[in-house]
Amino acid sequence: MSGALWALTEREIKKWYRRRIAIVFTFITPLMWLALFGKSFNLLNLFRAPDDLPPDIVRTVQEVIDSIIIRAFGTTDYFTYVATGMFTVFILFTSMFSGMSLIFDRRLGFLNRLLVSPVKRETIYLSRVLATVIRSILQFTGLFIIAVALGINLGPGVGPIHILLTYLNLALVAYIFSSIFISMMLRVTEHDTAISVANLLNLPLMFASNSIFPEEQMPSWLKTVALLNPISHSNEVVRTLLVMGSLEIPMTSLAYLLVLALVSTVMGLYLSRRYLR
Amino acid sequence: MDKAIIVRNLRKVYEGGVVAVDDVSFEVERGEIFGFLGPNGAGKTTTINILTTLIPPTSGEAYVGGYKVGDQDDKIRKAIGLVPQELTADDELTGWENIYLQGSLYGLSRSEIRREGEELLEMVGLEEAADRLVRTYSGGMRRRLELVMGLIHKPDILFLDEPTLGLDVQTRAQLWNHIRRVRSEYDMTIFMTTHYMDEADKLCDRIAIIDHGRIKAIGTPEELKRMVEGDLVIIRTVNGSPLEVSLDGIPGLKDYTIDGSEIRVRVEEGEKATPAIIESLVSKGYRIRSVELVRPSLEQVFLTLTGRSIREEEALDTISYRVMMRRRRG
Repeated sequence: MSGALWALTEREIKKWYRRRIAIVFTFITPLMWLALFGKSFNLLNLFRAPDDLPPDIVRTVQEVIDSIIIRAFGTTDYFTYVATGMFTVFILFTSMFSGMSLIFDRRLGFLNRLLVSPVKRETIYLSRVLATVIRSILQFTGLFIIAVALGINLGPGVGPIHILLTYLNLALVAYIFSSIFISMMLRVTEHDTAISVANLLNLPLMFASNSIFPEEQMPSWLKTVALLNPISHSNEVVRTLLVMGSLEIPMTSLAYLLVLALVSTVMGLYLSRRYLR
Repeated sequence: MDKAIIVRNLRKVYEGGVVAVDDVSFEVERGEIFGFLGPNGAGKTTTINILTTLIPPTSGEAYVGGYKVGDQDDKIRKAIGLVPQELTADDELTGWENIYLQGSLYGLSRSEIRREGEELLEMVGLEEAADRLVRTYSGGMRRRLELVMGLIHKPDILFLDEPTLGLDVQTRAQLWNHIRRVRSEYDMTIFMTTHYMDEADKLCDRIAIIDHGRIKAIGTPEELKRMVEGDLVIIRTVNGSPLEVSLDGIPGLKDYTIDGSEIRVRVEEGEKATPAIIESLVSKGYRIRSVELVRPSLEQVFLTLTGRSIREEEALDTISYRVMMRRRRG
């Protein structure tokens, strides 16, 4: 019954764009990270060769410093590093609350309207996931424009194909996060629960990833977490495409994300059939 | 199976041991309007939730449209429509958007929904408001939209849970007309719940009176009213208990009881007996505070069956008891 799937997705999207104020608010947190943190914390500027040396030595020292920085960050511009890391974090932030509409529908009785109809329970679940993916991607466009306005340094040779692949990667991440978060909310009746879960997870998930710093310098336990964190893998893909301007997407990261998507789909479909009533 | 609904020994015990529905059995014929009448918390909505596949029964069995609840839920869901007690249309969408969404849940095409929707909106007089956000609707408009949404796929069996809850008298009467029209035009079976006596009486072909999860009686409104015989004349005096009154010779007298300053006389025809009762009270020096004539009504039936008035539950107008002459038609 694909008509029902699209109709339910459309409802979510319509409700979303009619709350224009709420859309504005979704940009505030990532904007703070980009404009305030990314710009003020531009620590890579600190590593400059002393300028009281002969010019050719300054050049050589600077080259050595840059090569060290590039090895760790992939770019000499920290803002670009943080911005590309925030893209995926932004997707996380918009996906975390995707279970909210389900809780409200349960409380307001709208869910019963769906449950007495012949529509498949999996369809109800999938429509929320699909709506979140569309919503996240549209909102990401706004963030991308802001990042460009703030002076993100896209790698040489970044073209439409790189940007398209970035979108696809972020859609995949939105799919993973929303299917996990919606699954968690299938039985929940209090919206406080959704907010608590989101607040509990958002910052840890962001810090325990390579969004703000490369995982190389992390202690091994944190590094392990960062390497399991899908945000890190998405960052790898995004930075390969946008910072390095390369199409050679790291296959382990992509494979990891695809496996997560598969697992979360199976789990979500199973749980929605079982608990959506 | 040619019955629309068959329910046998249905029981629902919620977590914590609350018995919401206790050994309920009944049958609903195809094409009739069958009403569950009872106070809030009697088990009406629980019964609807079981029959519409929302919650499983604890024990007993139920068939809706010939399909067994719990085993053939998908088939039941295709055959039924529900207009729930709460207003559950999405108020951030317009009337039409809600209708499209509802229709698509039943696999209808956009053109089918458009055609059916226009017809139904016209019937309930909502065609002009249909492009507005539901948030801007009045309570009565929202109820009508709920009805349209419940009917968009032309279900065989329509469930109405307290369809006129909280509406004013005129709007309720309008909604009753819509429900009657729906039944006759679409040849539908309607199962409804209500705690309004007049609603059950005017709208339902048959009524089951339910209280504390148990069915007390089932029958047509007339059958039920025949359970209480005669009219009831209630007279209150100003000056004390009318113990000295003699009611010999009152036409059609059945019996009477005295409770404080109140005397309740059961007679065959209230209008004829009331003057004679008043005269005999006055002749003994009692002064009358109020006179009330109660017709055989579902309200009285309910009182007789459950030992209390459905109105006590609702804590409605106690003031009306002080009205000098008051008639309640059943």
